[in-house]
Order: sequence, then C-alpha cells, then structure tokens
Amino acid sequence: MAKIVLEDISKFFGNNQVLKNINLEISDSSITVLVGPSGCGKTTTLRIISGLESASSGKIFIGERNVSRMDPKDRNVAMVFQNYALYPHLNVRDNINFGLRAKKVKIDEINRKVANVVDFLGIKELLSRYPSQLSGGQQQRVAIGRAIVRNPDVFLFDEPLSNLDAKLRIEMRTELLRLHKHLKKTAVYVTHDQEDAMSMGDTIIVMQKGEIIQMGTPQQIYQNPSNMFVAGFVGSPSMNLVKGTITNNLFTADYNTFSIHVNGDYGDVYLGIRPENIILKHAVQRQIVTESFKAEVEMSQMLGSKLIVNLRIKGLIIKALFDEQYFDEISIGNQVEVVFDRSKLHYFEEKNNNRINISL
Amino acid sequence: MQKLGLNVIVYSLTTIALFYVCFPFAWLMMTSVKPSSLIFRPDVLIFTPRMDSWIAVLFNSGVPGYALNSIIVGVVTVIISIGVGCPAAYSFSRFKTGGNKLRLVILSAEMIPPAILIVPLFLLAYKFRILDSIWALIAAHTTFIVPIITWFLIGFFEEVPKELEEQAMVDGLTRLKAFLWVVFPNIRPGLAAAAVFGFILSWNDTFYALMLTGGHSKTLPVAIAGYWTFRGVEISKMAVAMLLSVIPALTAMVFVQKHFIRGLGSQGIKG
Repeated sequence: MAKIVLEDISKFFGNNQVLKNINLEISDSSITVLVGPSGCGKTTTLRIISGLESASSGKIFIGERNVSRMDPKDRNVAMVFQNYALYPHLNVRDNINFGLRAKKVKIDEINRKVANVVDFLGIKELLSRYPSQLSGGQQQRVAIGRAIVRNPDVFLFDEPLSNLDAKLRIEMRTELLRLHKHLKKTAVYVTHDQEDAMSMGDTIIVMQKGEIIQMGTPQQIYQNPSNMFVAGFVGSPSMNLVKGTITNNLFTADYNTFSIHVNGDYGDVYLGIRPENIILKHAVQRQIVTESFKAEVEMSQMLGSKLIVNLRIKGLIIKALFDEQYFDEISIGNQVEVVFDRSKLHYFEEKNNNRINISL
Repeated sequence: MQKLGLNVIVYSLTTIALFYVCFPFAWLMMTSVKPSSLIFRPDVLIFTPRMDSWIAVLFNSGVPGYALNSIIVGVVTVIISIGVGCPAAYSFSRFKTGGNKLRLVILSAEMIPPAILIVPLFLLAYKFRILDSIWALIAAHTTFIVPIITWFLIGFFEEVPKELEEQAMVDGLTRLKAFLWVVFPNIRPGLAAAAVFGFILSWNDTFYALMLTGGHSKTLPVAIAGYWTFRGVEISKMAVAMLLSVIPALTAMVFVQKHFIRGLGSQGIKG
C-alpha cells in the first residue's frame, strides 16, 4: 500500500508562508494532480513529499511509514522533473540504471530490469546515446524509464508536459495514462495547465496561495466549483463571471444588463456560466433554459469544430462556445438571441467568493 | 569595397597586436642564443647561434631545481585551493551562503596589496619556522589563489542545474555522493581551467617568493631575478631562464583558454 497522507503541513521560506496547514490523503494507485497558478505551493508540496524540501511543521506518511524526517533516498519515491534532469555525462543506459547502481544492485539484475523497461517504453535503440542527442519526447521517456526501473512506491511528476509542443503533449498524456494503468502505482502530478489536470487525474487538487481550495474528481471540480477561483481557473475558455445582485428571486446583472429568475435573496453575487452552456435560442433541445437575451456578435475565433464567440449584451461582453454549424449566422455585427442552460448556472457570494447552492 | 576596407583595417590592427605580443618572445629567443658581443645589437638579425647559455642554465646552474620548486609550490597550492575553493563555490552556488555580499568579500583578499600582507605573513612564517621553505610560499600563495579559484568555480557550478543533484538524491544518493557522482563530472572542464589558472598565478609570483624564500627554496622567478648581479646582468642566461618560465604557462593557457573565459564571463553575467 502506498497512499500518501499529509497532516497539517506548513512551510515557511523566511517569513513567507508558502503552505498553510495542508491536509490531504492521496489514495493508493491513484493519479492525483496538484493544479494551480504559479506560486500557489503545488511544487513545494511535491518537493516536501519527495523530501527535497522539509516541512516547517506537520507530518508526511507514505504507506504506513512516517517519512517526515527521512532523506529523499530513503522514501522510495521516484521523481521526474520538468526539464527531465538527465545526467548529461552518462548515456541513456547509465541514466536509467543510475538509481540501481546507487543502491548497489547486482549487475545481472540491473541488466534484466533495464531490458524490461526499455522494451516497455520502446527506447532500446537509444541506449548508447547521450541526452544531448535525444529529442524532447525521447528525453522524457528516458526520464520515465529511470523512474520506473527503481520500482518505487510513488511517482512524482513536476510539470511533465510543460516542455512539449501541443501535439506531443496530447500524445504523452495518453502515454502517461497507459503507463499508470500498467504500473498501478500512486502518482502525483503537478501542473499549472488545467487541461492537463482535467484529462489525467483521478483526483484534482486545486491550490491557491498555499492552501487547498478544492479537491475532487475532474467532473466535480468542473461541474461544482466550490468558489470563484476554481470556477475561473478550470475550463477553457474560462467561465464567464458576471457581477450582480439576487433580490426577491431575481438576479440582475450590474447596469441592468440582463435579469434571470432565481430562487432566493442573496444580495451581491457573481453569476458564473461556462461558454458551452450559452445556447442559441433556436438551438435549444431539452435543456431547461433561462429567459432569452439579445446579443451582438463582437468577435469570433474558429477552433476546428467550435467557435469561440464574444457576445455583447448591452455593455457586457461574455464568451460563448458554439458548434461550427452556426458559423454562417455568427458573423461580426450580427444580432443573435441566446439563453443560458439553467442547470449549469453557478452563483458565488461577492464577499467571500464561495459557492451558493441554489435549487432550480 | 567597404568590406574590403574594413578587412584591411582589422587585419592591420591584428598584425600590429601580434607583433606587439610576439616581439618580446622573439627578442628573448634571439638573446638566449646570440654571442655576447651582439646582445646589445638588436639590428643584427643574422648571426651564428650559440647554445652556451642554454647549456649553462640547464646543466650547470640551480635553475632546474628552482623550476622544480616552482612546480611543487604551484601544484600543492592548486591542490589546497581546489580542495577549499570547490566546496566553498558549491556552497555559494547552491545554498547562496552569505548572499551576494559574501561573494564579493571573498575577493577582498585580492584587493589587499601584497606589500601590506607580506608583513604578517613573514612574521607567521618566522614564528612557525617555515621561512626559506616552500611551505611559507604555499601559504602565501593560497591567500590570493583560493579566492580566485572559488570565484571562478561559482560560475561553473551555477551552470549545472540543481535538479541534477536533486534527481540523484531522489535516486538514492546522499548529497555528498550526488556532488561526486553527478556535479563533479560536469564541472571537470572548469576545474581544469581553474587549476591551470591557479598554477600560472603561483608560477608567476615573484614578490612573495623574493620575500619568503632564500637559498635552496628559491623559485624560478627569484632565480631569474638572481641573474641581475652587482657584477652586471647576465642577459643571455636570464633570457634562457625567462623562456623556461614562460613556455609552460603559455602552453597550458592555450588548452584551457575557452573554459577560462567562460569561468570569468559567467560570473559577470550572473552577478
């Protein structure tokens, strides 16, 4: 068993507190993704799990072992850095077997393990090359091979896809998922890219300013963001957030831009609506929708089979995502009539940005 | 046409600079093989070379022994300086020990004129009974070579990403082993350049050698100065000894100049 438990982990760099009482439990054999903007503490959390940083307070458990005071070499974790950290003075074979040689494993066993790993990753022909002679994707495979060969309890990945181009990124996501399915080990990924997070994780942990804001499955995070930060961070294009008030069962956007009937009286709020939940009125099928609003098409961007459209409703600009079949009617300057999917509306309190759960 | 004019200027200036640099060596070479009657005749370029001075210096004088002293002092100084400077540079690079200020402070030893430092050094050498021995000279040389080598190596350490040794530590090594197995192999060119540079500084030192050594512990620069006697200057023999002192240093610099420039330049950029 190799679940990871962090209890009351705090970290200070000088007077700057970068982690504030982090409590989390990562299930055995799961993929957990730490996601958040730069400086949120996700990499520091990863480094504390690995032992490269020590926590200022709190405890860390890997499996049943309290590893809080253990050196990285004794924690039986493997880490893949953003820049892969391949040893430039060693060829691929020696890079992969480095950890085994460090542990003084017998040469026969080293050779056997390396052979298995290179076969699995398809990098047998690279063994005599040096890191400078490899492409980015090949370097990543070698770094992963170096991690796998040690048979660690936990895999830690620090921004594993950041250095790859868009096409390779998508390929490697699939590759990493295939790998995880085969190895069945606990894996923790750190990324600032919410798309990577949503596509790879069994569990997503959204962090901001040293705190865990929300933890859940990708679906939970996407469909029920607990606050405005999560709502705006997850999803591409990001959620539209419209300021207004809910008074006497009516949401009114600022400057009377539009109004929507809603249950309750909550004062100053933000309404959140994802671009894909804004629907052309004539395209409504079985969704329960709000009142319709007239909007002017201000700008549109083609994304293959989808269009990102900037709609102006009086003085307010919101982004919508339409299917390419409506390309002809979405011309700049055209007036369109849109509705919102009522079941996909989100409301957040203005004073603390927290979600308000309102029934339909 | 413009490019041709530019090329002419560049090549002309280069030729002048080359002449300026090479002329002293050429003059030394000629002086070392010229008959004594022609030494002060620089206009005489055609003559029958004589090897008397070379034979006298190489086989009938103490110069080879003094050169050996210089080598021993240089090598030991470099070993001590690398031994101290390497971990210090690592500490500055990885742990930012003392911040930027301490990095500058270590160079302050270079700013103290040797004429001031010689007084306490002389007294210490006398106290420890190592005057007129190579150990006094080694101790003096480390005062200015350790800071230089430390400063030089900081740049090379900073070129090695810290993720490499962190990876090694996660892979199963202690920090010390990670330094030896991963960082050290990647700074070998820098270490070689630093070693050669330190050796040349030690090899060329005249002041401390004059002050702290005397009889059998003399080094080559002191021996060269010894050809200036009250009877006159033995210019031919002096020229031979000078060539002996210049050639090894020059040869070494040819091999490490690229890394030498890298070491000095990287510190300037990183600050």
